[in-house]
Amino acid sequence: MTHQDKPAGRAASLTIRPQQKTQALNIQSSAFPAQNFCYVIPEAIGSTDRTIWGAAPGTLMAPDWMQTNDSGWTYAWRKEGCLEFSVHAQPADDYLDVRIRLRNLSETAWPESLSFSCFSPRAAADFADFDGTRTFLLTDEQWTPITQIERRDSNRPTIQLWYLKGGPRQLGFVDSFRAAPQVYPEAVLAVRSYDGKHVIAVTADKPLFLFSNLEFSCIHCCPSFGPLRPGEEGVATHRVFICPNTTLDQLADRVRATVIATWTWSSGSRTGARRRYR
Amino acid sequence: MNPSPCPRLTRRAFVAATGATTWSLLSRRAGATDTSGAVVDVVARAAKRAMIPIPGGRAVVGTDRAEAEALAEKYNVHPSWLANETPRRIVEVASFLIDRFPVTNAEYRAFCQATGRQWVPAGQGRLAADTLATLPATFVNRDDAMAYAEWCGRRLPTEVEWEHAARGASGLAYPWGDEWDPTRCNSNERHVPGGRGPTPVDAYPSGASPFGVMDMAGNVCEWTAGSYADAPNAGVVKGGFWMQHEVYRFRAACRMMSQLAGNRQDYIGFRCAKDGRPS
Repeated sequence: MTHQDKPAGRAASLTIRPQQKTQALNIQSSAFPAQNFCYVIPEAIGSTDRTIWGAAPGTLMAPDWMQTNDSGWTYAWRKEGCLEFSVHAQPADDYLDVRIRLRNLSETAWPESLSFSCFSPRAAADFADFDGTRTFLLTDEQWTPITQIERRDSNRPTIQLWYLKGGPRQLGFVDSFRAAPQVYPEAVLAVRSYDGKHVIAVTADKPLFLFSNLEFSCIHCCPSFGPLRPGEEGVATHRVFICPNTTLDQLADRVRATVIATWTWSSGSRTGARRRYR
Repeated sequence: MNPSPCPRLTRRAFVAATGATTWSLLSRRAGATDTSGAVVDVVARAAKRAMIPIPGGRAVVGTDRAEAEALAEKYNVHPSWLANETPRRIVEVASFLIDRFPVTNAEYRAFCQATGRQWVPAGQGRLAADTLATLPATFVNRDDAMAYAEWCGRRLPTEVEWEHAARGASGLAYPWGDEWDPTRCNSNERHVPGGRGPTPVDAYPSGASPFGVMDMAGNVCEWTAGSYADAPNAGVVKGGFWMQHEVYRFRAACRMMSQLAGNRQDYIGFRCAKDGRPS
Protein backbone atom coordinates (compact mmCIF):
# COMPACT_ATOMS: atom_id res chain seq x y z
CA MET A 1 0.00 0.00 0.00
CA THR A 2 1.09 3.55 -0.49
CA HIS A 3 1.47 6.10 2.25
CA GLN A 4 0.84 8.95 -0.15
CA ASP A 5 -2.90 9.25 0.25
CA LYS A 6 -4.36 12.16 2.19
CA PRO A 7 -7.27 12.25 4.59
CA ALA A 8 -10.56 13.41 3.13
CA GLY A 9 -11.62 15.17 6.31
CA ARG A 10 -9.83 17.44 8.72
CA ALA A 11 -6.30 16.73 9.76
CA ALA A 12 -5.79 14.11 12.40
CA SER A 13 -3.04 11.92 13.65
CA LEU A 14 -3.00 8.46 15.10
CA THR A 15 -0.99 7.24 18.01
CA ILE A 16 -0.59 3.59 18.80
CA ARG A 17 0.51 1.87 21.95
CA PRO A 18 0.81 -1.88 22.38
CA GLN A 19 -0.59 -3.90 25.24
CA GLN A 20 2.61 -5.76 26.02
CA LYS A 21 2.43 -9.54 26.15
CA THR A 22 -0.58 -9.47 23.89
CA GLN A 23 -1.08 -8.94 20.16
CA ALA A 24 -3.24 -5.89 20.89
CA LEU A 25 -2.55 -2.32 19.91
CA ASN A 26 -4.45 0.57 21.42
CA ILE A 27 -5.14 3.22 18.81
CA GLN A 28 -6.15 6.79 19.44
CA SER A 29 -6.91 9.53 16.97
CA SER A 30 -6.31 13.16 17.82
CA ALA A 31 -9.72 13.79 16.28
CA PHE A 32 -11.43 11.56 18.86
CA PRO A 33 -9.47 11.81 22.09
CA ALA A 34 -12.18 10.06 24.11
CA GLN A 35 -12.45 7.10 21.78
CA ASN A 36 -10.23 4.07 22.23
CA PHE A 37 -9.82 1.60 19.44
CA CYS A 38 -8.19 -1.78 19.73
CA TYR A 39 -6.51 -3.81 17.03
CA VAL A 40 -5.44 -7.38 17.71
CA ILE A 41 -2.80 -8.36 15.20
CA PRO A 42 -3.21 -11.18 14.49
CA GLU A 43 -5.87 -13.10 16.32
CA ALA A 44 -5.07 -16.06 14.12
CA ILE A 45 -2.51 -16.74 11.43
CA GLY A 46 -1.14 -19.45 9.18
CA SER A 47 -2.63 -22.01 6.86
CA THR A 48 -6.32 -21.42 6.17
CA ASP A 49 -6.98 -25.04 7.04
CA ARG A 50 -5.06 -25.19 10.32
CA THR A 51 -4.86 -21.63 11.54
CA ILE A 52 -2.99 -20.89 14.75
CA TRP A 53 -5.02 -18.91 17.29
CA GLY A 54 -2.97 -16.56 19.41
CA ALA A 55 -5.07 -16.99 22.54
CA ALA A 56 -5.28 -20.77 22.40
CA PRO A 57 -3.50 -23.03 24.87
CA GLY A 58 -0.24 -24.21 23.36
CA THR A 59 -0.01 -21.34 20.91
CA LEU A 60 -0.46 -18.45 23.28
CA MET A 61 1.27 -15.42 21.81
CA ALA A 62 2.69 -13.07 24.44
CA PRO A 63 4.86 -10.79 22.36
CA ASP A 64 7.22 -8.09 23.48
CA TRP A 65 6.54 -5.12 21.24
CA MET A 66 9.41 -2.79 20.38
CA GLN A 67 9.20 0.73 19.09
CA THR A 68 10.69 1.44 15.71
CA ASN A 69 12.41 4.53 14.38
CA ASP A 70 9.42 5.40 12.22
CA SER A 71 7.05 5.81 15.22
CA GLY A 72 5.74 2.35 14.67
CA TRP A 73 5.84 -0.81 16.75
CA THR A 74 7.00 -4.30 15.90
CA TYR A 75 7.20 -7.80 17.30
CA ALA A 76 8.00 -11.29 16.12
CA TRP A 77 6.70 -14.70 17.13
CA ARG A 78 7.75 -18.22 16.28
CA LYS A 79 6.49 -21.71 16.90
CA GLU A 80 9.03 -24.31 15.94
CA GLY A 81 7.88 -26.70 13.27
CA CYS A 82 4.86 -24.57 12.56
CA LEU A 83 5.35 -20.95 11.55
CA GLU A 84 7.01 -17.67 12.33
CA PHE A 85 5.85 -14.17 11.64
CA SER A 86 6.75 -10.56 12.28
CA VAL A 87 4.43 -7.61 12.65
CA HIS A 88 5.20 -3.99 11.85
CA ALA A 89 2.54 -1.41 12.64
CA GLN A 90 2.97 2.12 11.37
CA PRO A 91 0.44 4.90 11.94
CA ALA A 92 -0.30 7.74 9.56
CA ASP A 93 -2.72 10.66 9.78
CA ASP A 94 -5.93 8.73 9.77
CA TYR A 95 -4.97 5.19 8.98
CA LEU A 96 -2.72 2.49 10.32
CA ASP A 97 -0.87 -0.03 8.19
CA VAL A 98 0.21 -3.31 9.67
CA ARG A 99 2.58 -5.33 7.58
CA ILE A 100 2.96 -8.99 8.47
CA ARG A 101 5.65 -11.31 7.18
CA LEU A 102 4.79 -14.99 7.57
CA ARG A 103 7.00 -18.04 7.00
CA ASN A 104 5.85 -21.65 6.82
CA LEU A 105 8.07 -23.66 9.17
CA SER A 106 6.07 -26.85 8.80
CA GLU A 107 6.79 -29.73 6.50
CA THR A 108 3.44 -29.32 4.80
CA ALA A 109 2.60 -27.06 1.89
CA TRP A 110 -0.16 -24.60 2.69
CA PRO A 111 -2.63 -24.19 -0.18
CA GLU A 112 -3.62 -20.79 1.19
CA SER A 113 -2.63 -18.76 4.22
CA LEU A 114 -4.05 -15.82 6.08
CA SER A 115 -3.77 -13.29 8.85
CA PHE A 116 -6.97 -12.75 10.84
CA SER A 117 -6.84 -9.48 12.77
CA CYS A 118 -9.56 -7.84 14.85
CA PHE A 119 -10.34 -4.12 14.82
CA SER A 120 -12.77 -3.18 17.57
CA PRO A 121 -14.39 0.13 18.52
CA ARG A 122 -15.76 -1.60 21.62
CA ALA A 123 -14.30 1.21 23.78
CA ALA A 124 -15.10 3.93 21.27
CA ALA A 125 -18.66 4.77 22.21
CA ASP A 126 -19.24 7.05 19.23
CA PHE A 127 -18.69 4.13 16.90
CA ALA A 128 -19.46 0.83 18.64
CA ASP A 129 -22.31 -0.87 16.81
CA PHE A 130 -23.94 -3.87 18.45
CA ASP A 131 -26.95 -3.86 16.13
CA GLY A 132 -25.17 -3.91 12.78
CA THR A 133 -27.11 -0.96 11.43
CA ARG A 134 -24.07 1.32 11.12
CA THR A 135 -21.74 -1.37 9.85
CA PHE A 136 -21.57 -1.26 6.06
CA LEU A 137 -20.45 -3.33 3.11
CA LEU A 138 -20.00 -2.03 -0.41
CA THR A 139 -22.44 -3.86 -2.62
CA ASP A 140 -22.71 -2.87 -6.28
CA GLU A 141 -21.15 0.48 -5.50
CA GLN A 142 -23.63 1.16 -2.73
CA TRP A 143 -22.96 1.06 0.98
CA THR A 144 -25.41 -1.29 2.62
CA PRO A 145 -25.84 -1.98 6.34
CA ILE A 146 -24.96 -5.57 7.05
CA THR A 147 -28.41 -6.12 8.56
CA GLN A 148 -29.89 -5.60 5.10
CA ILE A 149 -27.65 -8.21 3.51
CA GLU A 150 -28.56 -11.87 3.37
CA ARG A 151 -26.72 -13.80 6.01
CA ARG A 152 -26.20 -17.47 6.65
CA ASP A 153 -26.91 -18.66 10.12
CA SER A 154 -24.33 -20.53 12.14
CA ASN A 155 -23.83 -21.57 15.72
CA ARG A 156 -22.46 -18.06 16.32
CA PRO A 157 -25.33 -15.82 15.19
CA THR A 158 -23.41 -12.64 15.97
CA ILE A 159 -20.75 -13.62 13.45
CA GLN A 160 -20.93 -13.18 9.70
CA LEU A 161 -18.33 -13.63 6.99
CA TRP A 162 -18.39 -12.46 3.41
CA TYR A 163 -16.30 -13.84 0.58
CA LEU A 164 -15.04 -11.44 -2.04
CA LYS A 165 -15.55 -11.38 -5.76
CA GLY A 166 -12.68 -12.96 -7.61
CA GLY A 167 -11.33 -14.67 -4.53
CA PRO A 168 -11.57 -18.20 -3.22
CA ARG A 169 -14.96 -19.34 -1.99
CA GLN A 170 -14.00 -22.28 0.10
CA LEU A 171 -11.58 -21.90 2.97
CA GLY A 172 -11.47 -24.13 6.00
CA PHE A 173 -11.23 -21.17 8.30
CA VAL A 174 -14.34 -19.54 6.87
CA ASP A 175 -16.32 -22.74 6.43
CA SER A 176 -16.13 -23.41 10.15
CA PHE A 177 -18.20 -20.26 10.68
CA ARG A 178 -20.17 -20.18 7.40
CA ALA A 179 -20.12 -17.29 4.98
CA ALA A 180 -22.94 -15.27 3.51
CA PRO A 181 -24.31 -16.73 0.26
CA GLN A 182 -23.33 -13.79 -1.93
CA VAL A 183 -19.82 -12.53 -2.73
CA TYR A 184 -18.98 -8.85 -2.58
CA PRO A 185 -16.91 -6.78 -4.93
CA GLU A 186 -14.88 -4.60 -2.61
CA ALA A 187 -12.81 -5.53 0.38
CA VAL A 188 -13.79 -2.89 2.84
CA LEU A 189 -15.98 -3.05 5.93
CA ALA A 190 -16.86 0.27 7.57
CA VAL A 191 -18.63 1.55 10.67
CA ARG A 192 -20.19 4.99 10.67
CA SER A 193 -20.32 7.03 13.86
CA TYR A 194 -23.63 7.64 15.60
CA ASP A 195 -23.73 11.21 14.33
CA GLY A 196 -22.97 10.10 10.78
CA LYS A 197 -19.98 12.39 10.42
CA HIS A 198 -17.09 9.99 10.79
CA VAL A 199 -16.09 6.54 9.64
CA ILE A 200 -13.75 3.77 10.60
CA ALA A 201 -12.96 0.88 8.31
CA VAL A 202 -10.78 -2.12 7.61
CA THR A 203 -9.27 -3.23 4.37
CA ALA A 204 -6.21 -5.19 3.28
CA ASP A 205 -4.13 -6.07 0.30
CA LYS A 206 -4.82 -9.48 -1.23
CA PRO A 207 -8.02 -9.85 0.82
CA LEU A 208 -9.69 -13.20 1.27
CA PHE A 209 -12.84 -12.28 3.16
CA LEU A 210 -14.55 -9.82 5.48
CA PHE A 211 -15.78 -10.63 8.96
CA SER A 212 -17.99 -8.97 11.57
CA ASN A 213 -18.74 -10.05 15.12
CA LEU A 214 -21.48 -8.12 16.90
CA GLU A 215 -20.42 -9.56 20.26
CA PHE A 216 -17.60 -7.07 20.24
CA SER A 217 -18.69 -4.75 17.46
CA CYS A 218 -15.49 -5.78 15.69
CA ILE A 219 -14.66 -5.77 11.99
CA HIS A 220 -12.03 -7.69 10.09
CA CYS A 221 -10.57 -7.78 6.60
CA CYS A 222 -8.43 -10.82 6.19
CA PRO A 223 -5.48 -10.76 3.77
CA SER A 224 -3.82 -13.69 2.09
CA PHE A 225 -0.15 -14.58 2.04
CA GLY A 226 -0.94 -17.00 -0.76
CA PRO A 227 0.07 -20.63 -0.91
CA LEU A 228 3.26 -21.21 1.02
CA ARG A 229 5.45 -24.25 0.64
CA PRO A 230 7.65 -25.34 3.54
CA GLY A 231 10.21 -22.62 4.18
CA GLU A 232 8.47 -20.06 1.99
CA GLU A 233 7.60 -16.58 3.17
CA GLY A 234 4.78 -14.22 2.28
CA VAL A 235 3.87 -10.66 3.18
CA ALA A 236 0.47 -9.05 3.60
CA THR A 237 -0.75 -5.70 4.84
CA HIS A 238 -3.78 -4.80 6.92
CA ARG A 239 -5.06 -1.25 6.92
CA VAL A 240 -7.51 0.37 9.32
CA PHE A 241 -8.98 3.80 8.71
CA ILE A 242 -10.10 6.16 11.47
CA CYS A 243 -11.40 9.11 9.50
CA PRO A 244 -12.96 12.22 11.01
CA ASN A 245 -15.40 14.22 8.92
CA THR A 246 -15.50 11.66 6.19
CA THR A 247 -18.51 10.19 4.45
CA LEU A 248 -18.76 6.59 3.42
CA ASP A 249 -18.48 7.64 -0.23
CA GLN A 250 -15.32 9.60 0.49
CA LEU A 251 -13.95 6.57 2.25
CA ALA A 252 -14.77 4.41 -0.77
CA ASP A 253 -12.90 6.81 -3.02
CA ARG A 254 -9.88 6.64 -0.77
CA VAL A 255 -9.95 2.91 -0.55
CA ARG A 256 -10.20 2.61 -4.30
CA ALA A 257 -7.50 5.16 -4.94
CA THR A 258 -5.00 3.89 -2.44
CA VAL A 259 -5.66 0.23 -2.18
CA ILE A 260 -7.02 -0.90 -5.51
CA ALA A 261 -4.40 1.13 -7.30
CA THR A 262 -1.83 -1.07 -5.67
CA TRP A 263 -3.70 -4.34 -5.33
CA THR A 264 -6.44 -4.99 -7.85
CA TRP A 265 -7.75 -7.81 -5.74
CA SER A 266 -10.96 -8.38 -7.61
CA SER A 267 -9.35 -8.78 -11.02
CA GLY A 268 -7.34 -11.87 -10.31
CA SER A 269 -3.99 -10.19 -9.82
CA ARG A 270 -3.36 -11.58 -6.37
CA THR A 271 -0.77 -14.00 -7.62
CA GLY A 272 1.15 -11.14 -9.13
CA ALA A 273 0.99 -9.22 -5.90
CA ARG A 274 2.38 -12.15 -3.99
CA ARG A 275 5.20 -12.57 -6.43
CA ARG A 276 6.18 -9.01 -5.88
CA TYR A 277 6.90 -9.73 -2.25
CA ARG A 278 8.89 -12.90 -2.68
CA MET B 1 -51.15 -16.09 37.22
CA ASN B 2 -50.47 -15.14 40.76
CA PRO B 3 -46.79 -14.65 41.35
CA SER B 4 -45.59 -15.18 44.85
CA PRO B 5 -44.77 -12.15 46.98
CA CYS B 6 -41.23 -11.19 46.23
CA PRO B 7 -39.29 -9.15 48.75
CA ARG B 8 -36.28 -9.04 46.46
CA LEU B 9 -33.05 -7.55 47.64
CA THR B 10 -33.56 -3.87 47.06
CA ARG B 11 -30.96 -1.34 48.09
CA ARG B 12 -33.11 -0.28 51.03
CA ALA B 13 -33.60 -3.84 52.19
CA PHE B 14 -29.95 -4.58 51.75
CA VAL B 15 -28.92 -1.62 53.85
CA ALA B 16 -31.58 -2.24 56.45
CA ALA B 17 -30.67 -5.87 56.77
CA THR B 18 -26.96 -5.47 56.87
CA GLY B 19 -26.27 -2.02 58.21
CA ALA B 20 -23.76 -1.82 55.44
CA THR B 21 -22.94 1.39 53.71
CA THR B 22 -23.98 -0.36 50.57
CA TRP B 23 -21.22 -0.36 48.06
CA SER B 24 -18.41 -0.33 50.57
CA LEU B 25 -19.12 -4.01 50.95
CA LEU B 26 -19.36 -4.60 47.29
CA SER B 27 -16.32 -2.65 46.32
CA ARG B 28 -13.99 -4.97 48.15
CA ARG B 29 -11.99 -7.19 45.95
CA ALA B 30 -13.58 -10.53 45.40
CA GLY B 31 -12.21 -13.06 47.78
CA ALA B 32 -11.62 -10.58 50.55
CA THR B 33 -12.67 -11.72 54.00
CA ASP B 34 -16.29 -10.95 54.62
CA THR B 35 -16.47 -9.43 58.07
CA SER B 36 -20.21 -9.68 58.04
CA GLY B 37 -21.25 -13.25 57.54
CA ALA B 38 -24.78 -12.07 58.01
CA VAL B 39 -24.59 -10.32 54.70
CA VAL B 40 -24.20 -13.57 52.87
CA ASP B 41 -27.12 -15.07 54.72
CA VAL B 42 -29.33 -12.10 54.09
CA VAL B 43 -28.49 -12.06 50.43
CA ALA B 44 -29.01 -15.76 50.06
CA ARG B 45 -32.31 -15.68 51.94
CA ALA B 46 -33.58 -12.78 49.92
CA ALA B 47 -32.54 -14.43 46.72
CA LYS B 48 -34.36 -17.61 47.62
CA ARG B 49 -37.59 -15.75 48.09
CA ALA B 50 -37.33 -13.96 44.81
CA MET B 51 -38.50 -16.74 42.56
CA ILE B 52 -41.64 -16.95 40.53
CA PRO B 53 -43.40 -20.23 39.85
CA ILE B 54 -43.99 -20.94 36.18
CA PRO B 55 -46.59 -23.65 35.67
CA GLY B 56 -45.79 -26.51 33.36
CA GLY B 57 -47.65 -26.98 30.13
CA ARG B 58 -47.55 -25.65 26.63
CA ALA B 59 -44.99 -23.00 25.84
CA VAL B 60 -44.84 -20.90 22.70
CA VAL B 61 -41.32 -20.54 21.34
CA GLY B 62 -39.97 -19.12 18.12
CA THR B 63 -41.61 -17.06 15.41
CA ASP B 64 -43.85 -17.96 12.53
CA ARG B 65 -42.06 -17.62 9.16
CA ALA B 66 -44.59 -15.18 7.74
CA GLU B 67 -44.42 -13.14 10.90
CA ALA B 68 -40.64 -13.11 10.73
CA GLU B 69 -40.79 -11.83 7.16
CA ALA B 70 -43.23 -9.13 8.18
CA LEU B 71 -40.98 -8.12 11.06
CA ALA B 72 -37.99 -8.02 8.73
CA GLU B 73 -39.83 -5.68 6.41
CA LYS B 74 -41.06 -3.54 9.28
CA TYR B 75 -37.62 -3.15 10.80
CA ASN B 76 -35.73 -3.02 7.50
CA VAL B 77 -33.56 -6.06 8.02
CA HIS B 78 -33.00 -8.95 5.67
CA PRO B 79 -35.31 -11.86 6.60
CA SER B 80 -32.29 -14.10 7.03
CA TRP B 81 -31.50 -12.17 10.21
CA LEU B 82 -34.59 -13.64 11.85
CA ALA B 83 -34.43 -17.07 10.24
CA ASN B 84 -32.94 -18.86 13.21
CA GLU B 85 -35.95 -18.15 15.40
CA THR B 86 -38.40 -19.79 13.01
CA PRO B 87 -40.68 -21.68 13.03
CA ARG B 88 -43.05 -20.88 15.85
CA ARG B 89 -43.79 -24.03 17.75
CA ILE B 90 -45.43 -25.34 20.88
CA VAL B 91 -43.33 -27.33 23.30
CA GLU B 92 -44.12 -28.91 26.63
CA VAL B 93 -42.31 -27.57 29.66
CA ALA B 94 -42.32 -28.90 33.18
CA SER B 95 -43.12 -26.58 36.05
CA PHE B 96 -40.18 -24.54 37.19
CA LEU B 97 -39.28 -21.46 39.16
CA ILE B 98 -37.32 -18.55 37.84
CA ASP B 99 -35.75 -15.52 39.49
CA ARG B 100 -38.00 -12.54 39.37
CA PHE B 101 -35.02 -10.29 38.65
CA PRO B 102 -31.59 -10.78 37.17
CA VAL B 103 -28.94 -11.52 39.79
CA THR B 104 -27.65 -8.20 41.11
CA ASN B 105 -24.17 -7.00 41.88
CA ALA B 106 -24.95 -7.26 45.60
CA GLU B 107 -26.06 -10.84 45.29
CA TYR B 108 -23.16 -11.88 43.12
CA ARG B 109 -20.70 -10.07 45.36
CA ALA B 110 -22.01 -12.00 48.34
CA PHE B 111 -21.41 -15.22 46.45
CA CYS B 112 -17.85 -14.18 45.65
CA GLN B 113 -17.19 -13.25 49.24
CA ALA B 114 -18.55 -16.54 50.45
CA THR B 115 -16.69 -18.68 47.96
CA GLY B 116 -13.55 -16.71 47.18
CA ARG B 117 -14.43 -16.61 43.50
CA GLN B 118 -12.63 -13.87 41.59
CA TRP B 119 -14.71 -11.13 40.00
CA VAL B 120 -13.60 -7.90 38.43
CA PRO B 121 -16.62 -5.81 37.52
CA ALA B 122 -14.85 -3.11 35.55
CA GLY B 123 -16.27 0.05 34.14
CA GLN B 124 -18.86 0.88 36.78
CA GLY B 125 -16.84 3.39 38.77
CA ARG B 126 -18.77 6.39 37.54
CA LEU B 127 -22.01 5.14 39.03
CA ALA B 128 -23.21 5.96 42.51
CA ALA B 129 -22.49 3.34 45.10
CA ASP B 130 -26.09 2.80 46.06
CA THR B 131 -26.99 2.25 42.44
CA LEU B 132 -24.28 -0.31 41.87
CA ALA B 133 -25.72 -2.77 44.35
CA THR B 134 -28.99 -3.05 42.49
CA LEU B 135 -27.57 -3.20 39.00
CA PRO B 136 -27.55 -6.57 37.33
CA ALA B 137 -24.31 -8.47 37.84
CA THR B 138 -22.19 -8.34 34.70
CA PHE B 139 -18.66 -9.39 33.74
CA VAL B 140 -19.70 -12.94 34.47
CA ASN B 141 -19.21 -15.74 32.00
CA ARG B 142 -21.41 -18.77 31.73
CA ASP B 143 -19.31 -20.79 34.16
CA ASP B 144 -19.52 -17.97 36.68
CA ALA B 145 -23.28 -17.86 36.29
CA MET B 146 -23.58 -21.61 36.65
CA ALA B 147 -21.38 -21.58 39.74
CA TYR B 148 -23.55 -18.93 41.35
CA ALA B 149 -26.67 -20.87 40.49
CA GLU B 150 -25.25 -24.03 41.98
CA TRP B 151 -24.28 -22.13 45.13
CA CYS B 152 -27.92 -21.12 45.47
CA GLY B 153 -29.15 -24.63 44.76
CA ARG B 154 -30.37 -23.57 41.37
CA ARG B 155 -29.38 -23.70 37.71
CA LEU B 156 -29.53 -21.53 34.63
CA PRO B 157 -32.84 -21.60 32.78
CA THR B 158 -32.98 -23.46 29.53
CA GLU B 159 -33.60 -21.35 26.48
CA VAL B 160 -37.20 -22.58 26.30
CA GLU B 161 -37.80 -21.85 29.98
CA TRP B 162 -36.37 -18.37 29.62
CA GLU B 163 -38.50 -17.61 26.58
CA HIS B 164 -41.62 -19.03 28.19
CA ALA B 165 -41.09 -16.98 31.35
CA ALA B 166 -40.77 -13.86 29.21
CA ARG B 167 -43.63 -14.45 26.77
CA GLY B 168 -46.20 -16.02 29.03
CA ALA B 169 -48.59 -18.78 28.06
CA SER B 170 -49.96 -16.85 25.09
CA GLY B 171 -46.54 -16.24 23.56
CA LEU B 172 -46.30 -12.45 23.60
CA ALA B 173 -43.63 -10.79 21.51
CA TYR B 174 -42.32 -8.72 24.42
CA PRO B 175 -42.78 -9.44 28.10
CA TRP B 176 -45.45 -6.76 28.43
CA GLY B 177 -47.32 -7.37 25.17
CA ASP B 178 -47.04 -7.57 21.42
CA GLU B 179 -46.14 -3.93 20.76
CA TRP B 180 -42.79 -2.33 21.38
CA ASP B 181 -42.81 0.24 24.17
CA PRO B 182 -39.48 1.89 25.01
CA THR B 183 -40.78 3.10 28.37
CA ARG B 184 -40.95 -0.48 29.62
CA CYS B 185 -37.30 -1.46 29.37
CA ASN B 186 -33.75 -0.15 29.18
CA SER B 187 -32.85 0.10 25.51
CA ASN B 188 -30.82 2.58 23.54
CA GLU B 189 -33.76 3.70 21.47
CA ARG B 190 -32.50 7.27 21.44
CA HIS B 191 -29.24 6.16 19.86
CA VAL B 192 -27.06 7.64 22.57
CA PRO B 193 -23.43 6.80 21.80
CA GLY B 194 -22.49 4.00 24.16
CA GLY B 195 -25.97 3.88 25.64
CA ARG B 196 -26.92 4.92 29.15
CA GLY B 197 -25.50 1.89 30.86
CA PRO B 198 -27.38 -0.67 32.92
CA THR B 199 -30.19 0.32 35.25
CA PRO B 200 -31.34 -1.22 38.55
CA VAL B 201 -33.13 -4.48 37.98
CA ASP B 202 -36.39 -3.08 39.34
CA ALA B 203 -36.35 0.13 37.30
CA TYR B 204 -39.05 -0.95 34.86
CA PRO B 205 -41.93 -2.51 36.77
CA SER B 206 -44.23 -2.00 33.80
CA GLY B 207 -42.02 -4.31 31.78
CA ALA B 208 -43.04 -7.39 33.76
CA SER B 209 -43.94 -10.54 31.88
CA PRO B 210 -47.39 -12.13 32.30
CA PHE B 211 -45.87 -14.28 35.05
CA GLY B 212 -44.46 -11.23 36.81
CA VAL B 213 -40.86 -11.83 35.79
CA MET B 214 -38.98 -8.56 35.47
CA ASP B 215 -36.31 -7.04 33.28
CA MET B 216 -36.41 -9.71 30.59
CA ALA B 217 -36.17 -7.23 27.70
CA GLY B 218 -33.26 -4.83 27.63
CA ASN B 219 -30.94 -3.74 30.43
CA VAL B 220 -28.62 -6.74 30.23
CA CYS B 221 -29.13 -9.81 28.13
CA GLU B 222 -28.86 -13.09 29.96
CA TRP B 223 -27.03 -16.36 29.81
CA THR B 224 -29.17 -19.41 29.42
CA ALA B 225 -28.15 -23.03 29.73
CA GLY B 226 -28.60 -23.40 25.97
CA SER B 227 -26.00 -23.69 23.25
CA TYR B 228 -26.30 -23.24 19.52
CA ALA B 229 -26.39 -26.45 17.48
CA ASP B 230 -23.05 -28.25 17.57
CA ALA B 231 -21.13 -25.58 19.45
CA PRO B 232 -21.30 -26.21 23.18
CA ASN B 233 -19.09 -23.20 23.82
CA ALA B 234 -21.43 -20.81 22.03
CA GLY B 235 -24.01 -19.95 24.64
CA VAL B 236 -27.51 -18.74 23.86
CA VAL B 237 -27.96 -15.26 25.30
CA LYS B 238 -31.43 -13.75 25.43
CA GLY B 239 -33.18 -10.46 25.93
CA GLY B 240 -31.35 -7.57 24.27
CA PHE B 241 -29.30 -5.02 26.16
CA TRP B 242 -28.79 -1.36 26.96
CA MET B 243 -26.52 -0.54 24.05
CA GLN B 244 -28.88 -1.93 21.42
CA HIS B 245 -31.65 -0.04 19.71
CA GLU B 246 -33.02 -2.39 17.07
CA VAL B 247 -36.48 -3.21 18.33
CA TYR B 248 -36.65 -6.75 16.97
CA ARG B 249 -33.72 -7.74 19.15
CA PHE B 250 -35.73 -7.15 22.32
CA ARG B 251 -38.35 -9.75 21.44
CA ALA B 252 -38.14 -12.81 23.63
CA ALA B 253 -37.94 -15.08 20.60
CA CYS B 254 -34.88 -13.37 19.16
CA ARG B 255 -31.84 -15.64 18.81
CA MET B 256 -29.31 -13.19 17.43
CA MET B 257 -27.02 -13.01 20.44
CA SER B 258 -24.52 -15.79 20.84
CA GLN B 259 -21.58 -15.51 23.12
CA LEU B 260 -18.56 -17.65 23.73
CA ALA B 261 -19.19 -19.23 27.08
CA GLY B 262 -15.96 -17.85 28.52
CA ASN B 263 -16.66 -14.21 27.63
CA ARG B 264 -17.26 -11.69 30.37
CA GLN B 265 -19.06 -8.60 29.09
CA ASP B 266 -20.56 -5.51 30.60
CA TYR B 267 -23.87 -6.23 28.93
CA ILE B 268 -24.50 -9.87 29.88
CA GLY B 269 -25.99 -10.96 33.16
CA PHE B 270 -28.09 -13.91 34.23
CA ARG B 271 -30.88 -15.16 36.40
CA CYS B 272 -31.44 -18.57 37.90
CA ALA B 273 -34.11 -21.20 37.63
CA LYS B 274 -35.07 -24.26 39.60
CA ASP B 275 -37.13 -27.37 38.99
CA GLY B 276 -40.57 -27.81 40.45
CA ARG B 277 -43.06 -25.70 42.29
CA PRO B 278 -42.52 -23.62 45.41
CA SER B 279 -42.98 -25.44 48.66
